[in-house]
Amino acid sequence: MVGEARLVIITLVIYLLAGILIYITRDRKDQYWVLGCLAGGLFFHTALLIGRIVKSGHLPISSLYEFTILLSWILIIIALLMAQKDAAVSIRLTLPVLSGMLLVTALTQSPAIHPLPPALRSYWLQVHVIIAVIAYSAFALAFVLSLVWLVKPEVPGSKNDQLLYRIILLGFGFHTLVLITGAIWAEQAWGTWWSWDPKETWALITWLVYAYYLHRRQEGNMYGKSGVWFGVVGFAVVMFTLFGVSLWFPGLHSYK
Amino acid sequence: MKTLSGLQNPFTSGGFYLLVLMLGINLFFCLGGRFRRLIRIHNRVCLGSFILHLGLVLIMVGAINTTVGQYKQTYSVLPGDTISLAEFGKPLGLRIDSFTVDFADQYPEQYLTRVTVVEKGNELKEAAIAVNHPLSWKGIKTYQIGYGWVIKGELASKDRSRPVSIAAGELLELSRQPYLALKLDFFPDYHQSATGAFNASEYPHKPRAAFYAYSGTNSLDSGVLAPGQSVNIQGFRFHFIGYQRYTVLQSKVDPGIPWVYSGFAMLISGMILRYKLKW
Repeated sequence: MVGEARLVIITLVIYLLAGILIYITRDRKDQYWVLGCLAGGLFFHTALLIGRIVKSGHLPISSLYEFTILLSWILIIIALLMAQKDAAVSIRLTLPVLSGMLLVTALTQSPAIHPLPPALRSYWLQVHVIIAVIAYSAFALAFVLSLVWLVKPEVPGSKNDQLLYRIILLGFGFHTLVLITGAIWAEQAWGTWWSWDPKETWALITWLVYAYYLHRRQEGNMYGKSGVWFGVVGFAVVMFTLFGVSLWFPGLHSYK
Repeated sequence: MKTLSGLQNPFTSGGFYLLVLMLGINLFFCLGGRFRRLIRIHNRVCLGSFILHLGLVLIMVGAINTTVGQYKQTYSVLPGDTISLAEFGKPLGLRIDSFTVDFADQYPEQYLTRVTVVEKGNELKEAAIAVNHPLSWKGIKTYQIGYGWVIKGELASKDRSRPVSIAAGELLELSRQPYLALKLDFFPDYHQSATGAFNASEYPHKPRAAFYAYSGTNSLDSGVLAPGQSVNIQGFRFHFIGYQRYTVLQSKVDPGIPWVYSGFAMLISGMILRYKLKW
């Protein structure tokens, strides 16, 4: 059986190849190679996730390693959808690159599978984490679009500008649900709906950061370049909440 | 430890409360503004925005209620003990019938305390309290929050002998003049490495009681006892008989919860109304 780290590396190499193909191929008929490559990588990526489900007996959402692998998997699905919708080359290129970077990050984390501790043995785990994956995927997509449009600016109020706003809004809505489901679950498991745990606090900071964006947008700001910059800065806060807090501020959300 | 700057725990510092107060005042005036706009302009966006911000205010009110009005008590108890909930203003008690730990691959899977709710001697209900499954009874919620070990033994001196039962990690005083004490720790699955003793698992495969004897601030002796073994310290003899798990439960009332949950519901409803978009 192929080792898990080896499977991650195979997936990574295929995504890298897909990235190179996206960069060098502009012709529509060559896009089948790109799609084939992304689908091939996704096959190994999916095998990795299924392998963990079989080994652990639960969805791959109980550790930062699993969360990272799942998040990068969703980004590839989005990349495939974007490729079919004839999105700009830069967008199609940035998504697998970001997904690959997440996979590299996953390689630095422990892939060990331990039985779930009692506090995580709840249906709230599935609800809370799956919602978080959706929210973080939306923020990641907003980041990719922002990055691309930083290089090639969009006209304020254009279709793409509206798209960025809607994706951030989608992420914000789901992030609100992350905070709410987390609070309800915490009340049930630990007897307190809010405990200023570092992860909770930074999730709230992330929420406030994006709430600021929405308020500014309502006031007629955050269109064009400023909105695009915000997509980048907001995602930096998301990444710190996901990885930085887990690494440097151990708390109730520190999973081994 | 709390410091003036709040660096140890910033969320209990004066500076933090000031920030929250400012946020609260800001939200309050923001809500007022949105209400005035709602009166002027009757549309979905204004209504959604108002409900959304009202939800946030309710959550803050709930948070204040939780901070000020929450009452909780923690109990470390053995099967057979009864917890009195009289301090919550109800003539209720929880009798501990059993406490078990389920294991999966030597890792705790669930902690389960079976209790009987009693009121003035009458048994009202049998219930199970586990992590993620608190017991809610007449407004009081009781949670499974932990467990520990009780070391059971016998302490004998020249003139007398008595049974002792002490929680792991606590001090067993042998005499006051001169001061003599035993600190007892418990390892359910004792192993020794170059860096010291450690627990290989929480399952009692190799139960051992580690003792450290003190006289004043001087260390006299230390070692490890298996069940049935004894140690002699300056005329005292501690005989290690056995061990038992105790359960740690926490009962609480939190008047902030209804406010907070109503706030959550309004926040979601308000967001749906405010941001109903055509994709």
